[in-house]
Parts: sequence; structure tokens; C-alpha cells
Amino acid sequence: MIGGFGYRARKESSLKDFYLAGNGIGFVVLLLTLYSTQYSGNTLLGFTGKTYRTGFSWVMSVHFMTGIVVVYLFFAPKLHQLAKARSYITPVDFLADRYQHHGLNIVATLLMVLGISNFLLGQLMAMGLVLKGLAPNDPATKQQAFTLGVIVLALIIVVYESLGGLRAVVWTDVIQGSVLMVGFVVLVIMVWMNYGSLSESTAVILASEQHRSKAMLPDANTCRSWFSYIVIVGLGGALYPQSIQRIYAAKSAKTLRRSLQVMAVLPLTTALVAVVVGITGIARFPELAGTGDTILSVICREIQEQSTFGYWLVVVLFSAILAAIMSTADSVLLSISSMLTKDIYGRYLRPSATDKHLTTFGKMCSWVLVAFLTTVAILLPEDTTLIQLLDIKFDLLVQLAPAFLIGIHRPLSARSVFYGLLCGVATAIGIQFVCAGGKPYGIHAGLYGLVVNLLVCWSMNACIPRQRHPS
Amino acid sequence: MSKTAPTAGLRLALLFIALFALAVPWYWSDREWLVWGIPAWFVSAIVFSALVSLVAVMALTKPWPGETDDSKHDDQY
Repeated sequence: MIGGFGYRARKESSLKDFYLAGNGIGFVVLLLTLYSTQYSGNTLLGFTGKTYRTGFSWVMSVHFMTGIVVVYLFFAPKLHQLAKARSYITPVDFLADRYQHHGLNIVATLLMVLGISNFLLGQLMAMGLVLKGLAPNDPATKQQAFTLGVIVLALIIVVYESLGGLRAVVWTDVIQGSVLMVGFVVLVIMVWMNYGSLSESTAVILASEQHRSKAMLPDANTCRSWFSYIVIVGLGGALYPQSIQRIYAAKSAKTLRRSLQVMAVLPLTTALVAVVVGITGIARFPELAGTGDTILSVICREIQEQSTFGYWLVVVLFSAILAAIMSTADSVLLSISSMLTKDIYGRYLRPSATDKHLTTFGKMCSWVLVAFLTTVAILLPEDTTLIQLLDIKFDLLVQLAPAFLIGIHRPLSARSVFYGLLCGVATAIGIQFVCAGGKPYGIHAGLYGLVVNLLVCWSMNACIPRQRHPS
Repeated sequence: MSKTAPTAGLRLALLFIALFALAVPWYWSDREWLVWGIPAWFVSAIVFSALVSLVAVMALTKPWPGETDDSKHDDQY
């Protein structure tokens, strides 16, 4: 229905109208679309699961989610200004305008598409996990519920997105973001009423031989990993193509600034809630099998069975979880489709194509991508956790930090950025393959890559004549 | 860009780095301290996170370069 409204509300058959809703998103809508895009299935299912596995130290998630907004402070104002003046649609439009280097455009596009396809895959798996957690304990039924969840929800997303583009996506985000905000409140009340306060859970964990270490002071390796997460997610999350496109689509600088102000405090009401639920899960369900990503579903199933009120609370909460997953998935899907269409097909394969042709091509891309990733999500091994998928994405995205964050303020040559990017990606991927877990000394492979990237960029920039800055 | 802008940006960046560095409990001793029944290092991590949010909100109160007051039409959608 919203897809249909979005289709009717379109002002013209252009890429800008389809992918950026005509550059006119106001404060409330921008805030809710940023919120529901940033907080995904990973926040609710992945973060509760990770807290269940690692314990209190996953409070680092509150820090790295705040880190994303902090990073925006240092490049969003100028990027928004440039986007308005130069009609950017995709993140690579900025790079193409700033550096005018074909290799950089192609590598950056592929990197972003690969990185966030991984994210989309995580969201599709999260959809399946929600239904899997609610299904009866029979393994065959659980697998069927997972498959059905992935296919049906992916289909709904791709239909409304094809009809209404970003307009349909942000309208659904408004509904989904509102449901999500209510959902987090419901989650806190539900957990508090049924399992007691955080201090009660702490007492149970400290008394448990098996889980006591999860409440203890983190060791040096965890602290290094903590710093690493703040840097990699702070930088990588700020460079999500779908978020950059929302910076472009904001109606004005003031709209964007006000939305970011609210976004700065939201980790305390979202990521922290997920951590508290995970801690409660350790205390109340200490023997949960598997990776722990189903802990939230397990808690909900128990509450659902206790009373009619509990049943309805869980209904609201599951609407919020599905809202979180779907709103992130649709934004990522639209972003990938825009980059494949404008940055690869439109820029290099069919430069003479009309906007109408490109928009149709973009919709086709969405359908093909959803079909492919749905198949992968169903076939992936069961022990692939949501956090694993999240980590790999940031290792790739963070390599774009010099191009965006430094390049927007300082004169950098295109070749230095390009070769720095290549070396950074090669280092990150190499470490991922060589080291089990991809985190030597608790630090993400992507950060080692970023150091190499910066060194190459800096040394080459010192030797190569500088390009003019577009602004 | 004026000369003061990069300096202000650098100061702000350093403030954020300091707050994040204090938010990670690397400097806490192994002693088991509880505040309201919750590990003290966990409480301190949340307090410093709240401070980071506060500084970010304050930094975002200042209008950006080229910003115009278009609040009348702020909610087109």
C-alpha cells in the first residue's frame, strides 16, 4: 500500500526522485529514517546475542553507535552542502566529483556494494531468525520457519521499494521507526516485570560458576577490541552508503543537524536496552544452546506463554523487531541498487541511458539481488552469527574513510587515495584470511588495513602534485 | 574556511578521543566494585557514553556554514 502511495507521489521519473525522494526530507521523517536505518536486526537480535555470549563488556555497542554520530560531525556539514550544490545521488558521486578517477569510482562502488550486501544478508538472516525463535522446538519446523521468514519478508520489501523508491522506504521507515521506539520501551518493561532489575540479574550471574566471568572487568584483549570497535564502527557506520544518501536527501542543513542531535542520544535508549536484555538472558537462561542469537526470541516465547498481557507485549515487540530488520534491509537494498545503476551501469556501461531507463534497471537490480541473497541466507551454515557478518562489512567500508573524511577537508591527490584504498583493502582481506577470527590482538583487520591505507595515501600525496578541491 | 574552524574541530576531536578513552575500562583495577548492584566499570562506561552524547548534542547546536532558517517548511514529508 505504501509502495503504491510512493508511486503516486513521485514528481518525475528521475533517479533523483526515485533514490533521494527529490531531496526534500524534513526533520521528523529524516530522524525516523536515520534511526530505523541505523538500528537494525543486528541491534535487537545480534546485540542481545553478543551480550549473551560475551557479557557486560558488550556495553561497548553503546559507545560505537554514538561514535557514528560523532564521526558525522566532522564531515556531514560539508558533504550536505556539496551534495545540494552538485546534485549528488550516490556516495560515489562525491568521489567522482572530488577526485575524477575512474579506478577509484569503480573500486569504491564495489567495496560499498560488497560491504552492505553482507549487511543485507545479515538482515535477511535476522528475519528468518525471528520466526525460527518463535517456532516450536522441532528442528524441521524451525528450519521451515526460517526459510519462510526470509522469503516472504524479502518479497514484501522488494515490492514496495520497486513501486515507491526512497519515498516508500522513508514512509515505511516512519512507521517502522515509531514501532521500534515503542518496541524498546516495551522490551524494557517486559524484561523488568518478568525477570527483575539489572542488579538482580548481576547478582545471579556473579553467583554462577559458569557465567561469573561475563560480569567481571574486561581483560586487556577485550579493552583493545573495545577501542577497535569504537573506531571501526564509528568510521564505517558513518560511511554506510544508505546513511550518506540520507545526508544528501535532507531538506536542509538545519534539518540534518537537528536530526543528528537526537541521534546522538539514541544509543542510550536502544543499544543499551539490547545489552540489558542480553545480561538478563545470561542470568535467566544460562544453558541456551547455539550462538545465543535466539536469546531474545526465547525470552519472548516464555513471556508470551505466561499471560494474555504478555502475549500482546510480545506481539508489539515482534512488530518492532521486524520493523527494525525490514527498514534497514529496504534502505540497504535501495542503496545497492542506486550504486549499481548510477555508478557502474549509468557511468560506464550505458552513459547515454535516460533516467527512466536507469530507474527501470535499478528496480531489476533489486529483484536479482534479493533473489540471490535470499538463497545465500537460506544456505548459509547455522553457526554463522550476525556479529560475524557485521564485522566483515566494516573492515571494507572503513577503507573509504581517508577518501571521504580527509578528502573533503584537505587536498589529497586521486592516485594517493586510490592506491591507499587498494593497499588497505588488500591488507584487511589478507589478515581476515590469515588470522582466525580476523582480529589479531583484539584489533579488527580493517584497522590494520586503514593504517596501511593512510600511510600509502600520505606518502604518495607528499610526492604527487595536488588536485584542486571542488569547493 | 577561517583559521579558527580547524582549531575548534581539532579541540572537539581531542575531547571526544579523551571521553572515549575514559569510557573503556582499561584503567580499572580487578577489585569487584558494585554500584547499585551493578559492576562499577559498567556504570562508568555508561556515564562516559552519556557525556559523549551530551558533547555531541552541544556541538550540533551551532549552525553549520551556509545554513538557512527554513524551519517553516521543515516537514515536507
